[in-house]
Parts: sequence; C-alpha cells; structure tokens
Amino acid sequence: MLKRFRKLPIGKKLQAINLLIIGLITLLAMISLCFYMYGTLRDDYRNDSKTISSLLAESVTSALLFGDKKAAQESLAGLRTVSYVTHAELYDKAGNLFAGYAKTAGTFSAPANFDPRGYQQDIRFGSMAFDSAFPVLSIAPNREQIGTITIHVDLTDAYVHLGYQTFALLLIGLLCAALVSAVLSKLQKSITLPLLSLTETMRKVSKDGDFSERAILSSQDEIGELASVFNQMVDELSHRENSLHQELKERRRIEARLSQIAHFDTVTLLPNRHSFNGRIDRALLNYKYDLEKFALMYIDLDNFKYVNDTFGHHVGDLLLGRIAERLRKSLRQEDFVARLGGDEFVIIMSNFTDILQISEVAGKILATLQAPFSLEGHEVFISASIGITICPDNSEESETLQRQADNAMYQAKHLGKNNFQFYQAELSLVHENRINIEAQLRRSLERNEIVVYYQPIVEITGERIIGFEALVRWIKQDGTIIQPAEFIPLAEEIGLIIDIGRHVLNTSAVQTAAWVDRFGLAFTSVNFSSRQFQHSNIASDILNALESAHLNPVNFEMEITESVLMDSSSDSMNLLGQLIEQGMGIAIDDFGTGYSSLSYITSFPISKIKIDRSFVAKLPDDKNALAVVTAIIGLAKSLNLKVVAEGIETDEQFACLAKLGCQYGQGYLFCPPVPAIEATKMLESRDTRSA
Amino acid sequence: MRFNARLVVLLLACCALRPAIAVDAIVADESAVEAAFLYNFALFTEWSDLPANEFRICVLGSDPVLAALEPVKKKRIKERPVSVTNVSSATQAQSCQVLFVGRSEHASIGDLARQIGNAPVLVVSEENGYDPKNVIIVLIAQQGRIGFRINHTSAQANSLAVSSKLLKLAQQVY
Repeated sequence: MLKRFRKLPIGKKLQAINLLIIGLITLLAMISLCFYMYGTLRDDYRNDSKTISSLLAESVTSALLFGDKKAAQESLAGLRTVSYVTHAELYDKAGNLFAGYAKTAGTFSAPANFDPRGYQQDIRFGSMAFDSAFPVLSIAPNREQIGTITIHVDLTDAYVHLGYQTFALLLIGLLCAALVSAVLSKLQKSITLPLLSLTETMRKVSKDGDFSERAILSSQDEIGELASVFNQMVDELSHRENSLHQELKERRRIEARLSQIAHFDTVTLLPNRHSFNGRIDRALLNYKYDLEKFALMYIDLDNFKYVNDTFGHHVGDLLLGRIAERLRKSLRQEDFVARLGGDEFVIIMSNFTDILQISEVAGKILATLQAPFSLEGHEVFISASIGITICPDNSEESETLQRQADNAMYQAKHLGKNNFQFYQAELSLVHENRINIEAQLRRSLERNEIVVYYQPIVEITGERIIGFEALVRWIKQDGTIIQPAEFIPLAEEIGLIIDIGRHVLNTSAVQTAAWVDRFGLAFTSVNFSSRQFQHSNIASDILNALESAHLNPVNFEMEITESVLMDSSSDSMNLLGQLIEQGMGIAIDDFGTGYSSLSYITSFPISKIKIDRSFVAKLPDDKNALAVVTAIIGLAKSLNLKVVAEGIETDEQFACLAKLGCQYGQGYLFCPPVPAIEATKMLESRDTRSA
Repeated sequence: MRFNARLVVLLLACCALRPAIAVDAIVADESAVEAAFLYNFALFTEWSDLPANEFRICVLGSDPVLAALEPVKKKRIKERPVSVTNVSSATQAQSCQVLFVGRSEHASIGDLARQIGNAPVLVVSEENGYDPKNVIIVLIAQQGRIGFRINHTSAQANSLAVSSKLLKLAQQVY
C-alpha cells in the first residue's frame, strides 16, 4: 500500500492526502456530531420525560388523593399526544397500580412485581426505550409521596429520525468533501504543473544532453526558485561541458603529439628506439607462438660524423631524413625500420625464406645508400656498415639479439666498412671486450681518469731540465694505467680524441704557466693528432687554453708528426701562424720515420726536430742508425733547428748523442713520464742543485 | 422548542380533563374514608383567615366520623396542628375551619347554615335530602363509592378558595 503510494505522481499523492484528510475530518465531524446529537436527544428525552412525569404527577395528585381512578385515567390519557410514550402507569402509595395508559389500545399490561420506589430513571446507551419514574406528591404543606408515576418512552422513532439526520449530514459532508477536494485539485495544480514542467525539462536535459533547454519560471514560490536554480545549474553544466570538451580536445591533441614524439623520431619521421623495443618484443612473441623467424639488422653510417662536421648539423639531419626514405623504399611494407639515434638505424624483417634473401636486402640497402645525396647544393656520399642476426638461429632474447647485431655491425666496420656481416659467435668475444673498453673510455673524462704525465726534456750537456713533454695516461679507478697506444686509436675512432686532446691541452697549459712562473721553465710540448687537426679548430683551442692559463705562447710547443704536418691543410697552418709569430714552437715528432721529402721542413715554420726512438735505440752500434742520427743532427744544426733525441735509455746512447752534439735528450735514462707533482719536485731539486 | 410545544399541548390536555369521581374500592370503614376526605378537602381549600396555632376540624352531633378523625389529629394542616372537636351548637361551630355535620343534625341544617352565615367555615355533610345550598361540600355515596358536590357560590360567599383540582374532581359544582 505504502509502496504503491510512493510510486504515485506528486499530483495523485497530494490528491490522496487531501482526500484522506478531508475524509478523516468529515468522519470525525460526523461522529462527534452524531454523538452530540445522540447526547442531546437523550438529554431532551430525559428532560421531556421528567417534565411530562412531573406535570402528570401534578395533575393526578387530587385524583389519587380522592381515589378517583377515572380522573387519573383521563389525566394519563392526555399522553396520547406524546407519540413516543408507549405506556404510563400510576401507582398508589402502597405500590398498587392505580391507573394506566397505553398508546396502542389493549396493549397495556402492568409489569409484574414492579416496585416503583426502586425505579431508576436513566437511558442506557443504545437502549431503544427507557422508563422514567416520578413521585406523585401530596400538596403543601406536607408534600408526602402519595404515589409514583412511570412513563415508558420508546426511542425508536427518535433513532430513526436521528438516522435520517445522520444520513443527511453524511450527504452534506460528502458533498463538502467532494467540493473541497475539487477545489484543492484545482489549487494543487498550481504546484504540480510547474513541477511537472520542470521535471519534463530536466528529463530532456539529462536524456538528450541538450543544455539549451531552460525551465519556464511559472511561479514565484519555492518551485519558481527551484526552476531558476535549475536553470543556473544547466548554465553551469553547459559551461563546464564546453570547457571540458575544449580541454579534452586539447588533451587529445597533446596526447597525439606526445605519442608521436614518444614513438617517432622527429628528424626522419621513422619510429624511434621506444617503438623498436615494442616491435622486437612483438616479433619475439610471434616467434614464440607462430615460430615466425625474423632478422635483426643494425645499420650504422660510416662517415656521418664527417658529414655533420663538414656541412653542419642541418645538412646532417637532412641526410638522415633522405637515408630514412631510401631505407623505406628498399624494404617491403611489412618490414620495420627505426632510427635508434645518431646515425644508427635498425630493421626487423620477418617472412623470409633463407639467409640469402636477407643478404640480398642488405646488399640492396648498401647499394641504395651509395648513390650520392644532393643536399642544399652539396653532393654527399655516404656508406653504411650492417650487422645482422637472426632469431632463433642466434638467440631468442631481445637484448642478446641486439648485442649480436651490434657486434656484427662492428665486425663489418672492422672489415673495411660499407659491407654487411652476419653475427658469428667466435668473433663476439673480441668485439665485446672492445665495446667494454669503449664504454669505459667514454666515461673516463667525466670520471677524471684521463691524467697528464710529464717527461722531462734535458740538456745533454749538464743534464738540466729545460722542458716537459705532456703525455696522456688513462688511469682507471682500479689503478690500472693504460698507455696511450692502447686507447688513443679507439678514442680517435669514436671521436673522443677531440675531448681528450682538449683536456690534455688545458691541463698542461695551466700546469706550465705555474712552472714558468715559479721555476722559469722554458716550455711544455703537447702532442696533437691528425684527427684533432681534422675535426677541431686547433688554433682557437690552443689560443683559448693559453689565454685562460695566462701562458705565453713562447713557453708552449706543439708536437706533431711529419704525416700530420703533410696532411694538414694550409688553412689550418695559416690559422696557427699568429701563435707561431708570438713564439709558439712546433716540434716534429718521430722525425725520420715519415716522409722522405725534406722540402716541407723549409716551407713550414718548424722550430724543433725530435729524433725517433727507433734510431736512438740502435745507438751506438748500428752504423745505419748512427748515420741517420748524425745526419739529422747535422740537418737541424744547419737549418738552425733545435734537436731532441727521444727514448734515451742507456748511458752509451747518452754518451754517443753527446758526442754527436745533440742538444736535448729525453728518455728513461733521465726520467720516465711522471705526474705533475713529481715533475714539480724535480724542478725544485734542479733549482736547489743549480743554486 | 418542539418538545416544549408538545408540553404545552399536554398541559392543555390535562386542564381540559373533566374528571368524575369513580372510586371503585369501598373503604371498609366508610367513616374512615369520610375522615380522609375531610382532611384532603382542607388541603385543597384556602382560608382567608386562620387561627394562629391550630386548625380546627369540628364534628357537629354524634357521628362515627369523630372517631375516624383520630389519626388526622397527628397531622398538620396549613402548618398548624390539627384539633378535632365535637361541637353541639352553631355558635361553637363558627370558630371551626372544617365542620362536618353529622347525620343526626341534618334536620337543623338550615338553621345551622343561617347561624354560621358568611363565617369562613367549610361545611361538609352527607347527602340527605336537605337544601344543599346550606352546605359547601356534599358527600355522595353511590355504588359503594364516595363522590362529592361543591357549592362554589357558598364557598366564595364564605371567603373560602376551593382549589380547581378539587373542583375538577367534584361530580357537580354549583
């Protein structure tokens, strides 16, 4: 019942409540009215019967006194006009019936054993009839009771009448209830209609998401307020939805952009390393479930750094883009190609029959890259080295496969570049060692493992230290000292030589400046490789180093080999001209091992010649070596160049060179290359000795 | 209002009664009934003047009523103690309020009436062929019942106010 009520619409609810309340009120009013009417009726009848009794008693007094039954009878007969008195009796003092009356003739019969003295006059609730007894008194003064009169009142008619009245009242009540509920229904529409309209609007808004809908403000009460608040809310919602929409759009755009950045390389528009990682995992899964083989191909450009250094990064980037295009074109649609970074590309190929097919693809890639690239007016030639490994022939693990491809790629590089190699297990050990060293070397500078050692250069006559040759050492964290011959070629190959060279230059310049100040040291010579000449502006590097160390170029010497001197362009030498004019010396290292042509000695502003240690080592017994050394010393003297003998290890060599008139010497006989702090100590002892 | 209207009707009906004496039961002792009647007549009659400390009921001549009046002596009428006296002359009777003329005195009833004149004495007697105008209430015995006639004119002349209720019960009022 209550449940059903709850489901009712609000209008019906109000109607039901109205009806209930009106019904209840009507019912209560009816019931109380009925009770009131019944009570009044009882009171009226009680009083009436009393009055009638008393009047009768009065009128029968004399009749009773004088025993006149007839007169009493006639008096009682006067009750005929009172319809509700069914019968009446008059008893004398002794309680004997004296006279009687019955409304319907012949029905009167006196109640047996009636004692009027104990007679109570009352109407019990709901009784259809009642009796009323009244004493008949004698007249004044004694007023003694001389008899009793009783009347019997029948209430049936009264009740019927009351019933009619109740019925009429009920009708009136129902009519009123109907009228009131009709009026209330009309009135409550002023509440329910705006509510219904508001509900309808809300439904439209929530169902269709149409935020342009607005509720009509039909009333100024709470419902009107509700509608107005609702409208505000819809405004707010609409506003929020718009901004949310905007924000979502922006977010999607950014997400797409981020995804693009995250998965694609911006330079080549190829997938990046991140994508590659996902792809290789998928390829491995394909193998795992479908036994689908795939080849992993690492492509490294052979001389990209040169292109970058020569034409600039802009051209380098353009080149990468064009290479990406060509790679894409030389592959099938299903093959995957990505740029791993720098000049490294990777290809995942599946769906092949044999290794021969892969070889064909690799060859095709090499061929397509060989054609010159035309970039902003430059003709650029490039080649690549390719390393290939195959899953599952070589491995079924992502990292192993990548390392194998990398190894194979390095193998290709070692075999002269511009070729492709399949991974071979036996070669990988050597290669891995190299990779290991390479990784360590790359970190050496930032770990301060690259240290400059100094080997004294002494005057042969007097054995006095006049200068140092700066020599680089790689001292690993475990204390192992690695000689330049072991890591400089690798540093040159991976381009780290520039940074190492700069480090040596700066360190030795600062150190030399201190020594010049304190001990009046003549010079420190620093080696420069051909790579340094090729890939950096040597002149500005030296200039910067000397300036920041406040070192006079006079106290600085540049040590280069004959081949560097020959290979270096006249441009780079010209740039060095200023420094040379300011007094910087140039020493030719390993003299006698390089070019046989001596013409360059005169055409370049050389200040010093260093006799190669291979000749010195053979002194003094080897006639040929002796002849060469004698010739070099003679040549230097005649050209007014200083001469230094390298690698003096024995007293015999020293004596021989002294005899030959060599000015300066350098070697383990005097001192091995030592750290700066020991070199300083040697200078201190030199000065104390000389002093 | 309805009920009150009805009451009025009832009241009118009561007043319109024309009662007749119809006493069925003959009292064993007729004298006792007559004595009771005398007492009741006194109740329904008003005297213009009454003695201060007694109400006198007198019986003229020797009559059994005198003895029957014995219980009445204990009662009070008009708030006065009742005294019952046997009188022998009209002179004596003049100071009585109620005078019962016994059967033995019926012959001289005319003289008696004359002697009493207009004195306020309620004269009661049994019917016995005398001129009824000399007596105010005449008791009539018929078919074992006792009724009465009231000489209202004499009563008024003697300054006695007889209650209308008594008049209603009378067989004849003249």
